Amino acid sequence: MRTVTCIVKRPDLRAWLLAVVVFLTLNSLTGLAAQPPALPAQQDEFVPIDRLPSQEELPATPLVMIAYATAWLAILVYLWSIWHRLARVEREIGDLTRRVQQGGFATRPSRDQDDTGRAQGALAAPAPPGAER
Amino acid sequence: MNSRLFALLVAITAALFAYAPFLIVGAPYESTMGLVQKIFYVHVPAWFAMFAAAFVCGVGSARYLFRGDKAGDRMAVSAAEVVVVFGLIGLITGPLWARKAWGIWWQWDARLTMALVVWLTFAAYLLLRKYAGPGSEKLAACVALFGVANIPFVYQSVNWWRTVHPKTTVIWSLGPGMRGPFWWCVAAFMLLTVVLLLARIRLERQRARLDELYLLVED
Repeated sequence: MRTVTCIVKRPDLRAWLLAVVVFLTLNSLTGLAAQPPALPAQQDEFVPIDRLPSQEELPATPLVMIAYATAWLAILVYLWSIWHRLARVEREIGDLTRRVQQGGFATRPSRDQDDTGRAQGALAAPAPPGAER
Repeated sequence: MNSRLFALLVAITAALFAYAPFLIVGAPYESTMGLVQKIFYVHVPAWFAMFAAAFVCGVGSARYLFRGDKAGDRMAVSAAEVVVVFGLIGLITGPLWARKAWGIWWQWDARLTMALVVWLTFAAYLLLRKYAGPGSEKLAACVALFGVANIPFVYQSVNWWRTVHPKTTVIWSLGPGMRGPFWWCVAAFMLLTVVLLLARIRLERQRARLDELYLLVED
């Protein structure tokens, strides 16, 4: 009791005490304000339903749109690929025919464009004499 | 093939594809699956087209393997590419449909697994042709025959084994509202298959011609 009386009488300690009380009060008030909302009632069983609530369902529209877009894209890319490869081969045939007619020497370009593997054998270096089976 | 006839074929195919969305939108919704069932109109025709191209690949491979027919080989390699393209469409659209209808993207059941195996077989065919070097044509032709032999099992798998995939009877029992759009789409995909095959075979023929020209020059 004497200690409390001593603290109240001393102004510097009184100021400190007041600061601590204000700090604790504010702290508890902000703590109360930050409390999470009340929790839902605890479940003691799972209740099955036949149909998912509409807001929970996976929408079908994006799936359908992706499916059709993929199909179209695959077809268009493949068509473009055929057209592109055909144009390149026909251009090469034209160039080669022209050079042959002019008497120029034709060297075969790299066959890395060929995706069949067929031509690699056809244009391999000639076998040495006697090596043929 | 006559270029005028080919142009006509392309025009008919384009017209079929242009009108297909109107038919698909107008088709009734399925009672349990709703909107997502509309994937059916691209998914199943893509598999039908894949089966048709696989059959062509098989015939071409057999002709090359047993008779040494180069034209058969050109037909086979062209068809194998078409198989892979349509198979890819089927393998992408299927899981999109399954995610909504079954709640999962993929199920390792008989139908889905066998379809994947067939697609991988034809992808292997193309890889062989591209990377296995000279002489890979015959090996690839054998692979193609194995791929084709699997097709009837893929088709019948839903009837023979218990799977989550719908049975083949759903196609033959389609209601009048769904039957028209479905067969329209099948016709469009089949004609597209013919167009792609003809264009791709022309590419192979031109490549053969180019090879002959180079050989002529080198001689």
